[in-house]
Amino acid sequence: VSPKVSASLRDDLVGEMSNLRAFAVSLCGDRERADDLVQETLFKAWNHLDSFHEGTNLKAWLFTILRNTYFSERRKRRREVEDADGSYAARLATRPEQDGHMELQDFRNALVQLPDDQREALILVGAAGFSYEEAAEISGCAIGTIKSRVNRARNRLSAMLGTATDEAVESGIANVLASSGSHGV
Amino acid sequence: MKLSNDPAAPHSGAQRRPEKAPKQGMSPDLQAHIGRHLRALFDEVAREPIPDRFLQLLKDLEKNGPKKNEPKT
Repeated sequence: VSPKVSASLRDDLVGEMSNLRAFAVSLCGDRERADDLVQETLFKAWNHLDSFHEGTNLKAWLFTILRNTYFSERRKRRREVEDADGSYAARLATRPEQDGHMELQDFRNALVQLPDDQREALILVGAAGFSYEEAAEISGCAIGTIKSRVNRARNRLSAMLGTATDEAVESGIANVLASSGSHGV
Repeated sequence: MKLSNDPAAPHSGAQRRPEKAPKQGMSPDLQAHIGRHLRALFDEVAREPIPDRFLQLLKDLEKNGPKKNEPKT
């Protein structure tokens, strides 16, 4: 059955692509891999547009498809390769050209070391702008679970960044504050 | 290095001082620090133009309708 896609829904889809890419990159830490995820997501979304109710939250729907795709592949991959996390972290660490900013690079390295479910929760709530309730729906778990994942993610990150940068944390904050003004849009 | 006198500094989070870290060990500044980095990573990608391959994919899907095979990754 070929879905008849309204022009407005198509435009909305295009409008969400940037967020979808940002989610994918943040989640998997690898740009090429992320764009493959986005492509698969768009493909699946298009083929299942009849199950999307126009007027409901398209962004959340797309994010759900993307994270489901990501997690099912991660499960497959984990069965094949034992140190899935290690390989992801290593690949991430070899791409310092993405950003010359050491602070941000450190953060990236720390983020990718979080357990998948914690990283996901943190990104959905802390960067993608979803409420705890929406994030819970996207992740298919209870709101309390999302809250505790976000808390654990924050504590773990702060422990990693704290021991890595130690006394630099305070000056690091100042640097971030200062630089956020220069290229903030 | 100066937190309070920086005109570019947003007021949220920077108001409380690091010494007042709660007992859980997560200071508000550190929490704000994490949030800022998280959004910086996200926004960096979100602000980029959409790669042609995705716009092309939509065009193809529109023209051909749904296919049986998922794209090879």
